[in-house]
Amino acid sequence: MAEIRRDRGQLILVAGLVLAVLFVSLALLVNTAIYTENIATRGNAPGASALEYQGAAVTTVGGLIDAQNDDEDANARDVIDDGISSTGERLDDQFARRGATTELGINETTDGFLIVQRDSGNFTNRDGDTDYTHVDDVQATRNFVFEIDQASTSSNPDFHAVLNDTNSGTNESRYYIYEDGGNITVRLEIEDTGGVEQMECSIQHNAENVTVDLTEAELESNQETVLCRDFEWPEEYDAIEYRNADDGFGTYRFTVDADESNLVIDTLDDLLGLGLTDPDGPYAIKAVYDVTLDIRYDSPAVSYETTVRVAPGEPDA
Amino acid sequence: MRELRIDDRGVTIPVGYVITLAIAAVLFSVLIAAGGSVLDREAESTVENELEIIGQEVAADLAAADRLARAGESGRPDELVIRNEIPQRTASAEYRLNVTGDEIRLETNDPDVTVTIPLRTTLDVRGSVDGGPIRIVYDPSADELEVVSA
Repeated sequence: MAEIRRDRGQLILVAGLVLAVLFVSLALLVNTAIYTENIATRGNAPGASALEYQGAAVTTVGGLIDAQNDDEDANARDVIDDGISSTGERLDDQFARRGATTELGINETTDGFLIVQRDSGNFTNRDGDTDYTHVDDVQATRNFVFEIDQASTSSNPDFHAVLNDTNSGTNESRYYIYEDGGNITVRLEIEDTGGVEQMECSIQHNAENVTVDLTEAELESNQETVLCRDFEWPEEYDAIEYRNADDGFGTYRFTVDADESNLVIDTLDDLLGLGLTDPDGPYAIKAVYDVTLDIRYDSPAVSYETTVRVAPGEPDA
Repeated sequence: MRELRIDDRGVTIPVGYVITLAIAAVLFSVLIAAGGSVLDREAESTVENELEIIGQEVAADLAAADRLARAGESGRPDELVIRNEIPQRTASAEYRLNVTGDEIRLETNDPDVTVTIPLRTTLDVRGSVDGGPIRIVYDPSADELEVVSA
């Protein structure tokens, strides 16, 4: 009978073991590869929620400022402060569901004036002057919007709003607004010591009113919106004036960062003080020009704290 | 009696064994060598994939940080930290992550793999960390983003 040897078959055993280890390693590698690919397809935008929070706060507070300014409420500022605090609480609730804590506070508020002509009419002032100044020493302007009545606005390119840099003596930007054979055309003339540069922007009015937004450089009718990409809002100006105001017709509004002492036109309080109950024509109302917000956002992935200035409809500098 | 030298009776069985063993040895050697090289290649491509994905994750975080740093209209943020728990090691070894102006470079020695991910941010970015949880921090004094270990 053959002797039993215990080391027979070693080659096959060892080779089999090595191959088994190889296959297990390969399986692990493939697993890692699949996991990695899986990770790669997951959404990864840690800053998006923080930006969304900031965007929501800015939009809400912007809307709040404009709505409250429009209300001609003497306590607009208090109402806005309360509104911001309740906005903060509401947003905090909303973002808590996503595992984030937020804080919203007021850092600073700048007072200004809303200058407005609510009733459709020509653009002369309350005394009937066709060339006049609304306000001097303006720090900034936002939301400068006309609602142009195409039927009554002159087809002569005469009416223009002027942003005048009175200190320079020559520099001014003139926005001519006129009816132009089925269109409302805005011609911007920028004058400085080097001469005058002109650019134009038109929109079909289709016998309807047209919105002309000077600060956003945008014309809007009931059918289309035209962006006036060439238009540049001036960096330096201190007075806002109208010339040939009897050729323009409609309503308008803009908000300025300026002191009451620099207003040339009457304030609503002045007019009410004179015993007028429902004055028409342009006047100025105390308004909030901008609010600077303190924003804080904390989530497991992001900690973010900043200050944001909210001035809806302000042109990009 | 036949002479032993020319006696070939009974040789079939040992010769058969030897041939079988030789064939088995060659076969296993070839299998193991081929399996080993497949494993090496697979490991290298997996590690490269992993580094690429980690790099892209860090690039996305840096882009988010860059966007947030510019989002405050009144200037730069008072505080900005983005945290990400990227893996400590790849399938085969630890790695290092270097961030310079316009690229993220991820390197590992075993296997020797280097991956470069292009990066475009408006702020300057710097940092050199080992794999593992990281933080992207805005440094207000230098006005730049820094990648540091968490």
